[in-house]
Amino acid sequence: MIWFTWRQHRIEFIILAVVLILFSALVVNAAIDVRIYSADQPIMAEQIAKSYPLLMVNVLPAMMGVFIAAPMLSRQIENGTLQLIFTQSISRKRWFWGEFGTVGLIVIGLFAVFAICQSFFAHYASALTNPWDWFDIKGPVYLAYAVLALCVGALLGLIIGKQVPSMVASLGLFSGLRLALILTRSHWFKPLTSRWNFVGINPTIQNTQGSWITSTRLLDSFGKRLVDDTGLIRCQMQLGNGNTLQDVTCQYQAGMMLEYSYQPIERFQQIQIIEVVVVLLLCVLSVGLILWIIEKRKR
Amino acid sequence: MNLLIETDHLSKVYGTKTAINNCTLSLPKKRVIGLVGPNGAGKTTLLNLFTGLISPSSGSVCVLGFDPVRDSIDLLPKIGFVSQDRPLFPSFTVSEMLKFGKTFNPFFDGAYALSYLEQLNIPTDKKVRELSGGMKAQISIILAISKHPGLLIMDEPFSSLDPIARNQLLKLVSRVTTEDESSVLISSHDIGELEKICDTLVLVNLGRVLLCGDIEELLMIHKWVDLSPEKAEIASKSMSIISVEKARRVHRLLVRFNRLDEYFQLHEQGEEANLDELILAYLTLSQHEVESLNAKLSMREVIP
Repeated sequence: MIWFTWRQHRIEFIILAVVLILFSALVVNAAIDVRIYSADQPIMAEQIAKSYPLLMVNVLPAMMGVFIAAPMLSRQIENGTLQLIFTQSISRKRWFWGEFGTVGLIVIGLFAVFAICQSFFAHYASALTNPWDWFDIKGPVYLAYAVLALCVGALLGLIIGKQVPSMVASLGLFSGLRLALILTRSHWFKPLTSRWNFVGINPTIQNTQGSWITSTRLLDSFGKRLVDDTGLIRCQMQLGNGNTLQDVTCQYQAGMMLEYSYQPIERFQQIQIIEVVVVLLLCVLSVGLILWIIEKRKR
Repeated sequence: MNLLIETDHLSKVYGTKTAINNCTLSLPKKRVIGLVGPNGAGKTTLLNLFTGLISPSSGSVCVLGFDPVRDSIDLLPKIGFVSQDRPLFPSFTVSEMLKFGKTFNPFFDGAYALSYLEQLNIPTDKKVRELSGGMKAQISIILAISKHPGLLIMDEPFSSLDPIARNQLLKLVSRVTTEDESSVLISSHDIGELEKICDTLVLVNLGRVLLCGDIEELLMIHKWVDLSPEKAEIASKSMSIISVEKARRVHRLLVRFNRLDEYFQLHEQGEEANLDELILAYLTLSQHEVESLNAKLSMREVIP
């Protein structure tokens, strides 16, 4: 079965391996540079960290879903070879686990190597910039999304049964799920809040160092939320026409405050675990649906 | 286990469309069975039901003593199936296709497959996509027969084959039946090809089995009988009339004799219907129940 799966998908596997190994090498090189420069040239190190192609690496699992997972079953349905397999002396479940398992092990293995390299980079980059900037590439969450792309692609390939439409649908559904999970990320825990009344150094910034500031709100002296411009105008109106005070001074004199909502760095791993669990549950759901459809095809 | 295939009120419905309607039949082992019917008759659905690719909406089906859906693990090693599209992996070489056969079938006979490939001059190092349609069909059949199946099922194997490839295919089927003593079930709308190799015929149309039996017996009990309208009336009471060609003084009836003594009584008056005529007559009448049409004919057309 391993031979059969390898023979069918070897070109895709080789391309994926070349891409991920090349990327891994670049990431490790960048991590070493950040580590070296952060000792005596922190600005240089920060520049290297900030030039990391986050968007591109986050698109890679989606591309794997499009070019490997979605065609895996849809191509076989389109060519009719799935029917050929279903009339051989093997159960459908055994075939599925053989093929999906082999593809999964190879793909997840390659992505695991890449994820480890990225975590290595993110470890050093986190010391220079906000660690939450590296949430998507640090820890198991990156690998979990790769598994999700694989499962979603395979599911849509089976449901749609045509290569190109299933590839497009796979990209759409995976991107949608990923976006939805990114948007819900800040809501897994109720954010902490901190206020600054515009006096002295902003203590909130110090307190929330390494935290993910999810929102910043301007409050009036009664603690009521104001839109920034309105607040400033109101502040100037309260102090009289023609004042030339700085915003901060004006806002202080008007009794205004800045309220920060944030997730502290201590919650980084907890949120990672929650997101990984949710993603893996979606994967289990997808695989369950695949198995159900494979059996349902008899009906 | 004496029967190859047994169905009991088997039906398959897709949404509002009935593909197979209340089909009951029994097919014996060690026969070459022809499944005949026009396009859309339900042949492929019936074959898919026999292989467990789909499950019945109602009724039951038993192939080689197994339920194709419930006992697929036991049944599939005993079945060789060649589907209408003859799907193969286009990027695989022929030898890789044989390796596929070995991987998926524990009893796959690689040497047997190779000997057939050599006899048919099919190069094993060529990719499937580079082969002709005839060669692809032969590979599909070789893959199926190398399992040494108790039942070889082929769905429209002659379609899109040139005459040379057809002849090679027919020879291959003949060898399988003689060497392996396998039963063969072939669907086709090409009666001429089936007549050469089949000894049992199943005629289907619009999801119904219209006719099932030994070809020679079927031909023997179906006769063209020329009768006067008066005699036709008498005949209609004891015989199944398949079709009537009315002339002024003589009605030409295609008759199915239910009993052999009926046959011998009228033997001298009749001439044997040929297979094409018989099938054509059945297909023409297929939209109705044969028996109800028989009654209709008896009442309205034969009786003056």
